[in-house]
Amino acid sequence: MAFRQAKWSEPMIFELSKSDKQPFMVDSEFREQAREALAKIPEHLLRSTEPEIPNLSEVEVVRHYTKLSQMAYGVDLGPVPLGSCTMKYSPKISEELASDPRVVDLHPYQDLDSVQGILEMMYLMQRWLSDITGMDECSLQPPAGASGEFVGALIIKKYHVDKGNTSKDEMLVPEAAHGSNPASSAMAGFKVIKIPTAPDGETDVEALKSVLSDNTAGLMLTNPNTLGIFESKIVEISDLLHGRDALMYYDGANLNGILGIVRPGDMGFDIVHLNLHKTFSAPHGGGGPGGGAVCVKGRLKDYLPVPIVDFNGRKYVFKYDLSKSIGRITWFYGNVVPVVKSFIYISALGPALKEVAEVSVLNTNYLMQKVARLKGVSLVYGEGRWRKHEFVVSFEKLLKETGVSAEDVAKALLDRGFHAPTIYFPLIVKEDHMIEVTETETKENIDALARAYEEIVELAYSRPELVKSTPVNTSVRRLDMLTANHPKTVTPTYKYIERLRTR
Amino acid sequence: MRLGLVVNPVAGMGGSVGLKGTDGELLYEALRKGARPVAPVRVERFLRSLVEKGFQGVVVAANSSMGCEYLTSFSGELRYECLSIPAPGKTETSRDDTLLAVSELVKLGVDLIVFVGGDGTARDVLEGSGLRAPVLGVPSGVKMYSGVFAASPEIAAEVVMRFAGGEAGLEYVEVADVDESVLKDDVLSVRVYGYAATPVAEGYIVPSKEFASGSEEDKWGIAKYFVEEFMRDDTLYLLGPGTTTKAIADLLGVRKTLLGVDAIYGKTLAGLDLSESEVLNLIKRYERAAIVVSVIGRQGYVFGRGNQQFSADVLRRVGRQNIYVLSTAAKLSEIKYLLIDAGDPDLETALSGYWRVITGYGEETVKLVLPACCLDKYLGVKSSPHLSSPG
Repeated sequence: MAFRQAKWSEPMIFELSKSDKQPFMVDSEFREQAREALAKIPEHLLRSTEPEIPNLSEVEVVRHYTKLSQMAYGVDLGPVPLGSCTMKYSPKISEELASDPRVVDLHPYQDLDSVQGILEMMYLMQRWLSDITGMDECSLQPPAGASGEFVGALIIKKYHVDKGNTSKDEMLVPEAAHGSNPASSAMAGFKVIKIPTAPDGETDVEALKSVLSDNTAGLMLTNPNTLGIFESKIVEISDLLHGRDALMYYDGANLNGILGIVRPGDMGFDIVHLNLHKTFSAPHGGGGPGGGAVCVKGRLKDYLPVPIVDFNGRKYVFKYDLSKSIGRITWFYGNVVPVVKSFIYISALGPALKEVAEVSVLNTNYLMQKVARLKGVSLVYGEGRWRKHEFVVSFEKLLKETGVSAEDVAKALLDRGFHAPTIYFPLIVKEDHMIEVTETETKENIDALARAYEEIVELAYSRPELVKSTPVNTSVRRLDMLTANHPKTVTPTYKYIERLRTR
Repeated sequence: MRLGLVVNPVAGMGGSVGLKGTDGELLYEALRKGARPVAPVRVERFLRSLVEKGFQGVVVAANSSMGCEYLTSFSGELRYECLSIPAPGKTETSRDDTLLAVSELVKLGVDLIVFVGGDGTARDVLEGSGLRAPVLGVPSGVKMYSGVFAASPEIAAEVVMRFAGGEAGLEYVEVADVDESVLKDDVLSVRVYGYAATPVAEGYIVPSKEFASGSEEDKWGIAKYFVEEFMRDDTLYLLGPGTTTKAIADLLGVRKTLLGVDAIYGKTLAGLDLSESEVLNLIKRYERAAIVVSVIGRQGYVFGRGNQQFSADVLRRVGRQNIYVLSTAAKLSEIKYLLIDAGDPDLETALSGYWRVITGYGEETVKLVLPACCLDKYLGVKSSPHLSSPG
């Protein structure tokens, strides 16, 4: 199946717009209604300048965006095996239901009696997510995963400060952790102590023990970790941390590998963030806003960001008076649309939620068996171990033998109709691809991806220059890394260009 | 197996007295400053280990202080032959003797030439052998930027055994050296002088040093964090060589040599370009002393390369809890474990374990530190990324 992406030299929509063109036409009845509506708005609230809206007809607008979509790539077009991103297909039914006016036309200042339905959904989500993670209470406020992490780090901070333990200023973070873990810790004012990974692919417990002290505030860990390996000594690790009155933070980005099978709460974690847009199928990566729900054990529930949804026996209400709350993390109630989509996802699957993890793990290991045995490819850590939701392979040997790097292999995948996996992460593996196909890819697609890897590796040994010149079938060919990143040559946003022009 | 052996008897002497080498005229300066020989102990450790590992071949050694003398006085069972180079009775040897001895060894068809020395010796051995025989270095120099060196004398013996048993293949590695004429002006200029074939056993050969790793910004972050978080007014800080440690002095506005050991007390200069004995004197004068060193890129050395002023004696007096290690995160990620070559196996073993390395502002990374002497005891785990070859 040959892949060839459309290549339009499509201008920006504002550049398409012509001021001398006949503007968009409305009938006289609409015009009249608009005039009446405007008359009701106080003078001082009316804008004095024309709104900046491109002057285009419907067909021009549709063609513009259709062309752009033809030059883009997403899960609706083919697999996006980005490790740790859990790019699963998002069912269209949730898109349809979440577009209902009763969801999208709500106003945050609306009377609560008129939004009892959506509040019930949020309340149930707080309960369900608590059950799924083994926690006691959740806040749906954080609008993204990293925001959830930041909330977690702030809770850890406040917990220790409230107990008078101001010397607790060290956050332990595995070297293999998602980059946002050390960043969130630093933002919350912690020193970051990085813990190495042992050869079996798990956190090095001896190294962890060597730095545990009364200064230890907590540990941020994801399980399965970024190598896709389950941290089997997690209960021992939790006990070690709790022995120092340090808290355990669970980064939920990799929950897809254990969903419904084992719960972070049972592993000893005290705080969890969930990526509703990963595990629970709200679309992401340009497809919609994120949801970074944070759930905690009972002793921490008063620290959650407000508001959370409560049921007072008669109706659902927003609860703001959590005694130790870290405060707000974003405006209003966070991103409600992904909550609705995740609600639909969980309701549709019910007890079958567990199959999500089972199939995603099966898919991962099936693909790993095919890719890891290719020439020049190796599994650096945890050889001989099964993975969970993702796996990491190194092309270091391929690079040494052929000059073809992990980046070249990723570019060659683009030419074959696949999105690239996560590359050069985690940092502890050189020349790596971090691959996650999720449960939603078919066996045929996984086979095709494995075949693409096989073809590319063979080509690397026979005609490496062909791999290094990819991609050629995409809308945009390989960029010059330097000019693409250098402040002098980087292309800023349209908004920024406009600002420069008018300066 | 016939094993060639060439020793540079004066190699490494400049290290403890704060010189950046012992080549040429620097030897006399080292002697004036009271430097003690390093190579004899290293040769002895190498030979001892060879016997312990059951070496069955013949050692063909250069004459007198360049090899033979250690074999005749050696108490273990080892078969050996001596060349007549340098001429018997010659007390002062030079690089010409090394060149002659090595080319003679090549002529005799030895399977491997082991030399005891540093980068200067490596250059001479390369020139003398002209790639006609594989070479392996027993580390004994001040500078060891080349890729031909085993991590320690004991490890060199292990590599020889593996090579004899056909378990180690040959690889071409860089022979590099610092331009010593500009070193004194605090300019670090390293040249690659050629490539030598060396036996490579996973994890046992130290790769050539990587230069200038990590951005200036990272180094400033490290320096700022160190000054704010760890520096006390009542402690003498002995700063080792390197740009990361220099960033601390720069931040405080205190002078510091790029390649020497310098001391700071109360945020002012307390000593410049110190020798081992000067360091010891300072430690005695001040109540509290701490050592601040950076990691050598790719090789992973914390002590024993370019900072021999921090001798076993100094390290014992200062104590592990007062040693701070700095490294940019980028540099550290290229290294699987850190190494200590203090010339004292007991101390090296006692200091090994997990250390915290300062890698950024408010950021530390836990890293395994291993004793260079006894690396083989820690490398038992097969295909373990921690313990295989760095870089």
